[in-house]
Amino acid sequence: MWSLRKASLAILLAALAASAAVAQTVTTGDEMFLRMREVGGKLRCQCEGPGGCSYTVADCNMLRCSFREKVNPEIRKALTAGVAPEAVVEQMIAKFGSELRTEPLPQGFGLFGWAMPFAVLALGLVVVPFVVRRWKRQERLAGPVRHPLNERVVADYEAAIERDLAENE
Amino acid sequence: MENLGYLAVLFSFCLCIYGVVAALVGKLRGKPFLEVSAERAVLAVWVLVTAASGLLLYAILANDFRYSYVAGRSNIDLPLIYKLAAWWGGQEGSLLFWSWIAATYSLLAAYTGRKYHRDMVAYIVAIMLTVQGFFLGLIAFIANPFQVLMSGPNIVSVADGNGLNPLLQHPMMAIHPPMLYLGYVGFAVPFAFAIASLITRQPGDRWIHTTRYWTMVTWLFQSIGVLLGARWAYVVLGWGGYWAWDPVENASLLPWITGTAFLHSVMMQEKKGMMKVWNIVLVSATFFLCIFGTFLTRSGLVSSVHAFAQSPIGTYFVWFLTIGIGLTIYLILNRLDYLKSENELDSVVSRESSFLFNNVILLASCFAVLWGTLFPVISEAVSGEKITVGAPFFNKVNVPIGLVLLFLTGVGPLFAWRRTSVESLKRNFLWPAVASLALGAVLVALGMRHFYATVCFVLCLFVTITIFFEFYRGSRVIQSKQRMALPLAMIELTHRNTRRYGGYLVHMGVVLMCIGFAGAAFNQVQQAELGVGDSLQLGKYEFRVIDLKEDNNANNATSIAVVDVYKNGELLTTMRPERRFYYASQTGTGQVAIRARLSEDVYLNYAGMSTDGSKPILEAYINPLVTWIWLGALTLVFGTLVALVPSKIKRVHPKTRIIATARKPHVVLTKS
Repeated sequence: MWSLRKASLAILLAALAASAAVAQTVTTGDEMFLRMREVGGKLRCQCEGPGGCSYTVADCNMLRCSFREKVNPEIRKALTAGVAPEAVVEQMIAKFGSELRTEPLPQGFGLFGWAMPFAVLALGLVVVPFVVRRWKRQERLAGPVRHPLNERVVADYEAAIERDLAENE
Repeated sequence: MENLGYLAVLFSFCLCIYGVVAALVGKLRGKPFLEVSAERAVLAVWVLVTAASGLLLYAILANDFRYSYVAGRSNIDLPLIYKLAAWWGGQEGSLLFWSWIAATYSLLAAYTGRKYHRDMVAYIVAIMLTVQGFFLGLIAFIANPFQVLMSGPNIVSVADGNGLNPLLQHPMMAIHPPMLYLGYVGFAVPFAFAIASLITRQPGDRWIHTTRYWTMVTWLFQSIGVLLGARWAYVVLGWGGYWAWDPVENASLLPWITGTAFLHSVMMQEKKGMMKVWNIVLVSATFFLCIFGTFLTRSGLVSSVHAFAQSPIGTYFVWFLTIGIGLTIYLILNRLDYLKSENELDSVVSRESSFLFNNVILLASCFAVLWGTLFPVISEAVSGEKITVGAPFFNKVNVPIGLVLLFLTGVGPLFAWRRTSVESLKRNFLWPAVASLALGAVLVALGMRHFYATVCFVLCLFVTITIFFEFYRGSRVIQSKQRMALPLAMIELTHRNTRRYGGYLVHMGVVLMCIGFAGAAFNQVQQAELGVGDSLQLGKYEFRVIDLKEDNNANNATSIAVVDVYKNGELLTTMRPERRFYYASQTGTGQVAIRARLSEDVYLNYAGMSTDGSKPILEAYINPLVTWIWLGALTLVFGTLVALVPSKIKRVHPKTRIIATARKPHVVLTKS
């Protein structure tokens, strides 16, 4: 039994390690293209009108995407001029509007946007132990639980017992 | 014929109203013939909606371009399978398709209700027909698929239609929307059962068994729909990914998450009589999120590549949601006494607690997706500035939440009901924890530095071992008792409790998918303009264009790049990515070429033509472990199907029973 367990564990370990190792050995490609993708990945494509197509400039695959064709040469130009990718992102947002952002800035209402999901999660994780403890305390104080449905059953029994007693008397 | 179709819709809408009134009056006034009449109205609505759908399909297949809908969604040379898909390819047709599925579900729900829940059936019918009536009302008065093209007082026809959106012309698109709709609409049935049980104050848990079964079926459809959508995005959209956190994609995920939470927490109600309010809330939330998702897709509230054209129907959805949610909240508050728990928690370290945590994490994930989807609208309303939210936000928020959930997937089943002893914790956790931590050390030693991916692999192994042990230990017992081979003992074990072991298989599917998701951390991409003889190097792969071909047919013109792929200098395969241009819609789309293997996918996309039109632009991607996602999806579907098979051994979960009565009336209750 133990040998089978160990063998299974070894196989699982090897399979996961091998797949991860394969993933690690791939080398990177052309640097300019990758830097353009890095910038494009932080800009929301606007090719479907206001609000964009919901893809990033890097991922949008619309045939002859008008926005990508407009913004890509500018990104390339800025990167060639030595501007850092983060600064290029800000340049494009300044030029084409804040709709290009793919995530809120961590300030003002944007910070609220970032905080809310984690706040809800934290609240949930705090509330669960509290609820569990409260349930346990209630149980200790109240003893066995009386279900409302059983009140009816109890009433039926009471009536039946009263009837029996009356008949016996 | 156009009048017949419209009349069928109009009559079915009127019948829905009649059915709702008849069911409620019949029940409240004690007139059974009205209840029966309402049940028959459900059948009549199905017949009429089926007739209307048949007429629309006939118009599409017969190229009847007098219809505005047919002219806008189909064309003469459209292949048959996509002509069928044109039924749900546009706003009006998809509403009719939705109504047809809802009518079919209503019929099944009424039948199930009549057979097993006689005292609830009138309310089930009334609720299903209300939902059905809402959609039929939209078709009848707002989005009529039988609208004809007019020139002055005359009906006119066009020579050929605009055709179906090229992105929808893929075999997967013939399956993906129906599956998704089966999921979306199907969640109305558990909702109807839940609300009917509240109204009638159902004693016992029979209705919850029925609801759970329905939820599992619709959850399965929803899962298949969501996963087919991801697969479609991967093989059609050509950006190398499968999930873009688009608002419409998110809309399909939201009810799936709450449905998943319900499928877990419902066990608490079945086995312990607990979390009744929570379960009603989850069933209701799932249903309203389905309606909300439909509203999101069709109202133009948020922009999306998947959304239908902006239309005025959004307002009606808001009203429907407001009234529906309001009534549901009122009913729940009004029935709080009936929804009281029958048992209490014994220990924090118990299966019950793990379900609570599981629900909190799932709901937090649901909230995060909903919040991100609506944040542009909320920020515009509050601050006046429309702050857009894209994939980076969703990934940063949901990846850590997802990892916690993955951890709970492994931990939850190891806890015992009521209370878990330290010994049991040690016995169950030691080996999985040691093995997975060892894997983490190996991965770091191998040079893996991506934090989330490493944690994900570690947790995947942890969960895999826990699931494996669950099967192994149970099978060994059966093997020794019944003297059968281990694989047969494993099948026997699963058959004895299909729900439990089917659930484990679903968990295994999730693990496999998580391995695939983690692989995305190591994706590689390269792009180049390549003429015949040119090549592109990406890692150990070389892509050499050996030919450029044209293949035209009546529906589209196709450009094909024939590319030899070399790995470490040796010819591996020949791939043929395509670019198609559709004449009718005057738009184009790509057909990517994929060489899928367990270790990695080689993914080649014909992205377009160079500015001078002489060379194709090719994008090459190396996507590690993506195949594991599709394997995981198949495992998840298989596991759900196993869980739907009735168990060999029927299990009863007694919760509260009267064991004796005293002279002075006093009832002693026991818990088991």
